[in-house]
Amino acid sequence: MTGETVGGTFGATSGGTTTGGTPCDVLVVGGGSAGLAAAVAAARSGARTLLVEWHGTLGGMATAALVHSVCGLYLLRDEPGAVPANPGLATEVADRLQACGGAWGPVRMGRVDVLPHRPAAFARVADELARETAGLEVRFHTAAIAACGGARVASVELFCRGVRETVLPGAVVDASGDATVVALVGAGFEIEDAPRLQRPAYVFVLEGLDAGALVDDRRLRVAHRIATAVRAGELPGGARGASLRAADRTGEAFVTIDLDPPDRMAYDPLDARCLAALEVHGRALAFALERFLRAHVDGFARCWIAALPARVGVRESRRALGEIRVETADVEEGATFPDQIALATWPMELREQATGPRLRYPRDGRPTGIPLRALRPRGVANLLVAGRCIAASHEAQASLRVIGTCLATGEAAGRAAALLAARGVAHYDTSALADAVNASRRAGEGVATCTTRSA
Amino acid sequence: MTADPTAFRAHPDLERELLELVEEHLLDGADGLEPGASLADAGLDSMAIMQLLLLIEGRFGLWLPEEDLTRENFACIRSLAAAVSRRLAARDGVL
Repeated sequence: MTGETVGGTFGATSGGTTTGGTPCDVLVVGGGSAGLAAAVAAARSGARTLLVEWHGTLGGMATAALVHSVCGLYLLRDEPGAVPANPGLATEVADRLQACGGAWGPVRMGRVDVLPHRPAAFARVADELARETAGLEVRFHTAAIAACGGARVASVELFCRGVRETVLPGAVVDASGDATVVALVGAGFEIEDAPRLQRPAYVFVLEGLDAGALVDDRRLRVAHRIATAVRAGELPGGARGASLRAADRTGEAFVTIDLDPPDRMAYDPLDARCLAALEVHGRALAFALERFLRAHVDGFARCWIAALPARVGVRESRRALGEIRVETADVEEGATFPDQIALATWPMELREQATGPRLRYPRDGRPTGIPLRALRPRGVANLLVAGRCIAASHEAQASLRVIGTCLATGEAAGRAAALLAARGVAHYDTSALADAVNASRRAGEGVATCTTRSA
Repeated sequence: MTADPTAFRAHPDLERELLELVEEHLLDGADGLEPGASLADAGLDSMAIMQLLLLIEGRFGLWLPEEDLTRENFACIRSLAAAVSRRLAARDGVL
């Protein structure tokens, strides 16, 4: 059934299309960092592009989940000075965040450089990017609920507030984070067993801290007070690994807790009951921490929760089965591929325990090439994946999932989708497509030269 | 507490045990680290100190007090072993 379609910017496509649906060149499902980059890149490549997102903001983890650092933007270097890893939209988004005062840094943390940002600024930059991009229409509060097709996705059914709409896309980018379209169309995916799935992050904002409440070793001492209170039974065990980071403005801090589901429930990022339990559990921990900090920790007597996340920050979910899988050894060794379209530079950050990460760095800090084949689900010619659900091993995904890398794979997927939609998918050659993606990015508006550094 | 946290040398077995904890739970490849090598340069950020604190409690039954939570103590395995060693000695009544 086609619902009451509000007239969008999409007219009839050339070449004649089936009736009973809204045609577009490229449909991007999911407006996180990968979907944002995919949609902007596809539209800049000339594709009439529709981006659907079920929250009311673009940015995904970087906005809705209050993740406040862009990781994976820079090469892994021992020398001081951050060097962008992926020219193109990853660098452009970082530049725009800094230009509007919404990011400060880069800052070095251990061996890596990250760009701390304000989630609200990321939402603003995303809105501006989308608005400035001709040929891009964004729809919020919208989810993909069905996809038809076999060797290619013929149609995708969207759902918004009780209204269904069928879209007939030339190509689709699945940037849902959960490989939703991959699953809906019946393509292959894998998902890690519950005990090993990367634990999700629950992030909230505290305001009203005294100046200097987290300066120098005080940050560690606050964490120590929290852990000591957990030992004494004054705080629930889930708060044990809480980490506080001062924001750029005095009196404000981000608090991050890695979550295990309560009551020994198995973690399942695709189960609504588990997600509900996690959201409620995360909030309960936030309120408990607010009470504890106000009552017991110097500098926090007047603090309050200024913002809760719109959603828990899922790190790992379904991973598409692609034409190739980025393997753990590829990240360990810094593999290069003839069809690579982006570089991953973040160490494998394994968060299988809610008490903090276990890190695995690549040999000599080498970046990993991400092949376009890892963005191409097997057997579905006009479908690409981008972001955290590309084809990768569990451990490799722990490197590739970060926002900076999602921007880069998103951009590549968007450009590839635009090319597929324009040229047709009957006889594609992945290497030629990768070359075209890289050439298109080099020629793209406001995009610097792509330098794929071989290891 | 001595002014120089590295002045007190812990038993080499303690350094080895701490290194194994870091390798097993925090940083793959840490077993190749020199005891004096910077943990930050090896890739551990400051919040890894909290993880170490919990790991030390689990392994030694020792909860390091707040005043031990300095970047100096957690600078390298050698300085950390010295701090842990001092607290173990005080607790167990031997020095």
